[in-house]
Amino acid sequence: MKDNQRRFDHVFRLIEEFRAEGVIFYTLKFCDPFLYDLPQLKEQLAGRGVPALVLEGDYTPGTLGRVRTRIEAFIEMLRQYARAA
Amino acid sequence: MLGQLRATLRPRITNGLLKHALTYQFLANLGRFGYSNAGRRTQGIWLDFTAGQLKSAWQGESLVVWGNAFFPFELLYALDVTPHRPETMAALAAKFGLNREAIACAESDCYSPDVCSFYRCAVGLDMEGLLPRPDIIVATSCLCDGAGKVFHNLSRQYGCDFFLLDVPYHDTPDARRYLAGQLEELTLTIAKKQGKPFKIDRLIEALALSNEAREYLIKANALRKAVPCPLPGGDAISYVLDMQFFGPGSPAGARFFKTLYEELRGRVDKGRGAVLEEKYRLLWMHYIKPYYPNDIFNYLESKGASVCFGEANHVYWEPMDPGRPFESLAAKMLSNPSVGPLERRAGLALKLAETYRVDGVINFSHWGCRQSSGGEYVIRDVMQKKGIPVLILDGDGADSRNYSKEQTRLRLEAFLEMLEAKR
Repeated sequence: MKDNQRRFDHVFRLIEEFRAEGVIFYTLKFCDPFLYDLPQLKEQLAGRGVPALVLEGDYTPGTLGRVRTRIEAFIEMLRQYARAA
Repeated sequence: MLGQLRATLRPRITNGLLKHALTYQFLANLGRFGYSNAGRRTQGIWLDFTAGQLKSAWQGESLVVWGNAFFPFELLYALDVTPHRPETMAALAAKFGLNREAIACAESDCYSPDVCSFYRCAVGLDMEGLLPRPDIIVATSCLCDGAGKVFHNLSRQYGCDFFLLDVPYHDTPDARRYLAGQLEELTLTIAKKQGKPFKIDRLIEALALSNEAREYLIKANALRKAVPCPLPGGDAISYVLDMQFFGPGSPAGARFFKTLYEELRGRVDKGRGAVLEEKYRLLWMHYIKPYYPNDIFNYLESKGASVCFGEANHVYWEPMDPGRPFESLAAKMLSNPSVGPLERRAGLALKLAETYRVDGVINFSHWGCRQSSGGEYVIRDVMQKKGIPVLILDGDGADSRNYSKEQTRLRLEAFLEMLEAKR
C-alpha cells in the first residue's frame, strides 16, 4: 500500500513490454486505493508522453454510452499522435 | 468593475494573510486574551494552541511534521517538533469558505470527487500554497483510508520522508508489541533527523500530560449525562474533538480539558444547557460533522433536540504507563473501538446510547468515508433491536456541494416526528 511507485514502475514496464500507445485507467467507483494513485500516475505518464484516459464505472450498463464516446475520442487522439509522429 | 476587482483581490489578500506568521501571532493573542475575557476559555485555549502551532510552522522554528488525526501526537510533543494538522486545516477551510476553491484545485489534479473531501480539501490548500512546508510526514493506516495515500503523495511532491504506522486489525499482545516497535523506531528516526538525542523523560512528561487530559475529559463526559446537556453537540465535534485528537501530550491539551470540565461543571450547577427544555437526547455517530455553514445543530436545538454525546468524544483508552511509554501509546491506538471488527464499534454505540439515555441516534454518513459507511446498517440493526431509532443522515463534512439544507431539514424533521410519536 505504502510504496505506490512499485505499481507505477510495473505499469511502465507493461507499457514498454506491450508497446502500448496509451493507457486507460478503469477504476471502480469508490475504490480508494486506485483513486488516490491517479494524480501521481497520470503526472508520471504525462512526463513520459503517454496519453491516458480515466474511466470510472460501477459494473452497471448505465454509463456505457458515455464510456463509448470517451473511448472514441481517446482513440481519435491516439491516431492524431501517431500521424504527428 | 468594483465587484470584479474585489473578487480578484479578496482571495489574494486572504491567501497572503494565511501564509504570514504574524496573522497567527494575532490569532493566538486573540485566543489567549480576547476569548478568555469573553468567558469562552476553552475556545480561547484551542485558538491559542492552533494558531501558535501554525505560527511556528510558517516560521520553521523546528522540524515541521504533518500528522493525521489518529497518529499519537504525544510523540511529536516529546520530540519538540512543530506538529501540523492538514485535516484540521480542511475543516477550518470549510468553516471559512475556502473549501470550494481548494477542492476544485484537487479535483483538477485528478483527485476523484468520490474520495474523502477532507483530503481533497487539504490537497487543494496545499496546491494553493496555504499549508506550511513539511520536513516529515507521518500517518496511520487506521482509520481513514485516505490518510496513508494522500500523505504519501504529498511527501513525494515535497521530497520529504514519509512514515506510515501499520496498525494491526486485531488488538492482541503481539499487535501491541509490533506497533510499539514501530513507534519507537519512528521516534528514534525523527530524533536522528533533528540531530539530537531522544530524551525519554520528555516522552514520560508528554504521557503524564496526556493522562491528565484524559482524566478531565472523562469527568467532562460524565457531566454530559445531565439534563439539559451542558455542552452543545456541535462544539463537542469541532474544537473539543480537535483538541482530543491533537492536544494530548501538550500543556495546552491538559489545560484545555481541565477548563472544559470547569466550564461544564459551572453550567450543570446553574442548570444551563445548549437546549433549555431538552425534549430529545441524541447520540451522534461519526468522528465528524459538516464544518461549512449549515443549520443541522441549530435546527435540532430549535426543536428541543440535544446532541448530548458523540462516539468521537468517548474515552476508550486506559491511562498510559510512563514506565512503558511506547507500549502504552500502542495500546491506546489499538483500543479504539473503530479499529477491528465492527462488533466493537456497534457494542460501543449501544453502550453510549444507554449511558447517556438517548432517545435516538444520528449516524452521520460522510461521503467518501468507507470505514464508517460500511457499518452503518449493522449499527442501525443493533440499535433497533433495542428499540432505539436511528437516522442515517447522508452528508459531507467538508464539501458543501453535497449539502442540501432543505433535504437535510426534511429528514431531521421526519426523524424528530418519529421520536415524538414513539413517546
